[in-house]
Amino acid sequence: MKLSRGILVGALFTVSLVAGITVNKMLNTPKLPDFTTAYILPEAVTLPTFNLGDTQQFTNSQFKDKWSLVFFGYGSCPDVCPTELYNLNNVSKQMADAGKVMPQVVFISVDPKRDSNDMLGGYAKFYNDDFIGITGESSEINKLTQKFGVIYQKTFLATNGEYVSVPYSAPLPADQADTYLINHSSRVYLVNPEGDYVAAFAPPHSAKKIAEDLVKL
Amino acid sequence: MKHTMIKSLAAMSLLASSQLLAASADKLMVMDSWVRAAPPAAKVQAAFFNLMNHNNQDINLVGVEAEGFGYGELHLSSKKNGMMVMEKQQKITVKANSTLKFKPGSYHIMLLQPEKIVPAGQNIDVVFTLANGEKFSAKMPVKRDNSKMGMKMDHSKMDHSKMSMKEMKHDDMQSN
Repeated sequence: MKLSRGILVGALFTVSLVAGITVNKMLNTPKLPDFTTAYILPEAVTLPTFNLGDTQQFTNSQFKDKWSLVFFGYGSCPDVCPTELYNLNNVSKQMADAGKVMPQVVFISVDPKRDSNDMLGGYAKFYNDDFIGITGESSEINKLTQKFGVIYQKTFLATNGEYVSVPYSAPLPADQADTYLINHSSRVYLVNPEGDYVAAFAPPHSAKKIAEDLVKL
Repeated sequence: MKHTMIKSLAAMSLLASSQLLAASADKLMVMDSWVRAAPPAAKVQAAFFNLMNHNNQDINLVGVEAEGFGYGELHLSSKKNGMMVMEKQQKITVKANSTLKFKPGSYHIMLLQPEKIVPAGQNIDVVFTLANGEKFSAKMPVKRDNSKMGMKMDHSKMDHSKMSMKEMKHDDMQSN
């Protein structure tokens, strides 16, 4: 009898502890405003432990205590990525005009074979001094692309004139080894100050529309 | 009868050849051109413009090169299977008496292997080759953005986003 009461008390304690933690997490997780353009995920996605950068300096902690916009691309991308970074700089101007804090912008290159972190740092800063450009081991990048639902493939022109798309890690014909293009998802992802992926902006991107949502944060 | 036929054939071929001659680079016009300024560490620069074909015949672009770059390619960006896809084009056709817009997210010229990235404020000489072997060139200014075009684009995007939320979300899902 005594024993079963003890178990009951123990069970109640566990239940209330779990409930307490859940409520605490809910209270601490910033609630998202009603966005007009962004697609809000039904449930926040916790990002896996990752590290990017030459000295593994870019980790989950870089997403803490601030909102972030994450975009995946590559340094040799002539059209889509520059358009996106330019666009995000326009978002930043509109946020400044509205007296709001611009989320941290993180451009992650999925092409570590050709892009160095040095190059990417300068690349991102060309569009805005506060933008971050980073890459890392493909295994680390893939942890993130899987969670964000990013697809990317290496693509090259075969001798028959057709484009062939292969996984990034696949070998290419010698004459195409450095000139391949990369097909990639071009959504802009919103990460909350807990470091969780919570919403996304689908292309085509309008700086005005993105800013109109972000000022609500 | 035979004679007449030969005559008319000759007339036709004459006509055809005069039309062929008429489809010339002289009747092409490059408007609103700009090359996107890129970070000094970038490996490529992209050029955008409107190409007006005042010929009564279609013309085919088959090649492009630019001073200061190893080589150039004709490209088309588009959305396929939820990804932005860029593909080199063997030729780009501009229909008779029409304008083809080379713009971000669509047709563009990709300039590769830069001797050095050309900064904003300078010009790049771009030389196009037509299928008939003729060449024509255009001087394109390097800019951080084509502000006029940028404004237009913003409007078009605003219009585009007027579609229903349902469609927007559907589009969202597709790009996953």
